[in-house]
Amino acid sequence: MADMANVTEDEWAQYHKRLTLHAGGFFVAYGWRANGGWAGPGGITPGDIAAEAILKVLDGTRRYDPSTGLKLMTFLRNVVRSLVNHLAEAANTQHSRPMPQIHLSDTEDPVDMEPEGDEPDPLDNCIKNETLANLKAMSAKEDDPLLVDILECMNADITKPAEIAEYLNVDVKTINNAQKRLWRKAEKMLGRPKREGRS
Amino acid sequence: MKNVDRFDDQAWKKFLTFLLPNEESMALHEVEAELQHLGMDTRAGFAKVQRGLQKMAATREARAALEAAREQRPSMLAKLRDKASQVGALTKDELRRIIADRFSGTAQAAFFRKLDAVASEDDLKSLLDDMSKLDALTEESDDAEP
Repeated sequence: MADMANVTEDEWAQYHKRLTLHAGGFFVAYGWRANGGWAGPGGITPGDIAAEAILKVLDGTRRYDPSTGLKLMTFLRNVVRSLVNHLAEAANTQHSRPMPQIHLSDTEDPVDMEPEGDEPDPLDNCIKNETLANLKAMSAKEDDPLLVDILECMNADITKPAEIAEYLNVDVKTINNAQKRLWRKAEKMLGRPKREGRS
Repeated sequence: MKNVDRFDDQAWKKFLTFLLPNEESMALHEVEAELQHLGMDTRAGFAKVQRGLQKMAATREARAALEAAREQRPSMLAKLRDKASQVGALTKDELRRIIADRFSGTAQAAFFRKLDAVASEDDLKSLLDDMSKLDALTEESDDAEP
């Protein structure tokens, strides 16, 4: 546990911000909004998920073992994804079957020890049809030269920027810039909540 | 208009995932800017982390203090062993006081009875041995408590 003992409060603050954005991506994808902000079932926010992930690792509920070679931040991201998945499962269970709710043991979650990139995909059925419809509408109007090429890559299951760049024979930076440009357009369509406070 | 209708929902879901900000490839100031842009406030969440860190620090300090106290506390066991080595110098009154101070309930009553029945130095050593064993058990269970 030497890794964690050396983490300062400032570093935890940075980890928390990164993990909040990591969790926040799922909230945006799932369209989890409440009270003018991004919030999931039970009013849980991306910041809550990030905090819970850190606290579970700190108190040993999610046991981090640096000897496995997994970096602390990678492990924390896995815990965040696991928590979001549990939240999504609970939300789906509530929608389809009010009772009983599924509860997975915190200590027996295989997601914790998975290397980055091998975690289960986010739950597809959490992405709302409305979200996809908005994205399609935005894309149909968009005049970005790379948009259809990138969609072609997605269709061929080529999803990493480096792979896309290679496939399209362009610079990775070009793909990253396209991602940022299209994200700015998309997030308006996906419904940005009113701003609250600052990060 | 782009011809994007030909892509199925799986492709669109992957596209959505591709578009989402990837904090791993972002500098901290970019992460902060994106959080600000999305209206995601981290203050309340980090306050929870700070409380957790404070609680952990307090627990660590309390454990260290307990450990220090345990190491400094003259063990009753050691005292009794010390006494046992010079058992001849112990009076029944001293033993009675040790039993009264250190034990209670049935154990205390049993040791008083055994003390009253002491007829030889061997009996006395046997009594001290029993007392030190029970005392050691008590100390171990005290230390094991959170």
